Amino acid sequence: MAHRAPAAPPATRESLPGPWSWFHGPRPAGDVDDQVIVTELYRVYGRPLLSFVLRLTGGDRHWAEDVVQETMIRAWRSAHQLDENAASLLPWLATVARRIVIDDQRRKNARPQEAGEGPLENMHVPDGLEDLLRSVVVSEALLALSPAHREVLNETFFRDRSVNEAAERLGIPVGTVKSRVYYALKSLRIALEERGVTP
Amino acid sequence: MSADTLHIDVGAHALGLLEEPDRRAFEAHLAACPACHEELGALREVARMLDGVEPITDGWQARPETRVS
Repeated sequence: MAHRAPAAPPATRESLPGPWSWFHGPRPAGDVDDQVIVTELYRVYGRPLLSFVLRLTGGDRHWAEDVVQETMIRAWRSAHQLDENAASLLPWLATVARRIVIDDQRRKNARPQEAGEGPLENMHVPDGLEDLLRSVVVSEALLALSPAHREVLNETFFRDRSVNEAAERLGIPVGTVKSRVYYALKSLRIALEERGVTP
Repeated sequence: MSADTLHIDVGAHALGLLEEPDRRAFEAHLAACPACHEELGALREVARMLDGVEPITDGWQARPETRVS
């Protein structure tokens, strides 16, 4: 996916390109298709961002989807401002999405002034949103699990079922459910650490 | 039940998913197994992170009409 332009200097071992370096401008026309970039942003961040924005819009899904779409487009336009070494773009996207929600709210309240377009990299998520953002990052980490690991957590913890009850529902041995729960938690711990959340 | 099997139970125990006989058996094992004791602490922290988080249900799709120009 991350094919580099021929003229780009070779990455040294000391400064390997970050996970989003392919996304980072400048890039020659046609190097990475714009649609591919937005599709990739949606694939990685669409769902956790939507769950975050839904809480800002009070559950208004249509509004939230519009906000997510606008956020992805702004991210694509602001590619040069993104930290290519960031483990996750989610904090950045969440901050932009929050600003869009606030702007929308101001428009709805018929107040003419808009929030200024300050430098995006200087924006911080206020304290009140830390817990919300944490839960969104955890959701993102859950998405990084294998489907079998995600399923076993859904069938046990999230539905308040014992491993025995889940085994019966899934039609697999209890020992398999216990083993999957164990490895799912270990994978989740790693996924959280990769996203800068230390359990 | 073998020690290996009991060790695997540490994950389910951290999330409170064991039924009573298994829970008692694991807790008896836990008292004599420093490795499990240590791992239980770590996995409980992971379990704590899940509080208040919505489950991820597979099947979400990006909006197909999303395009940039």
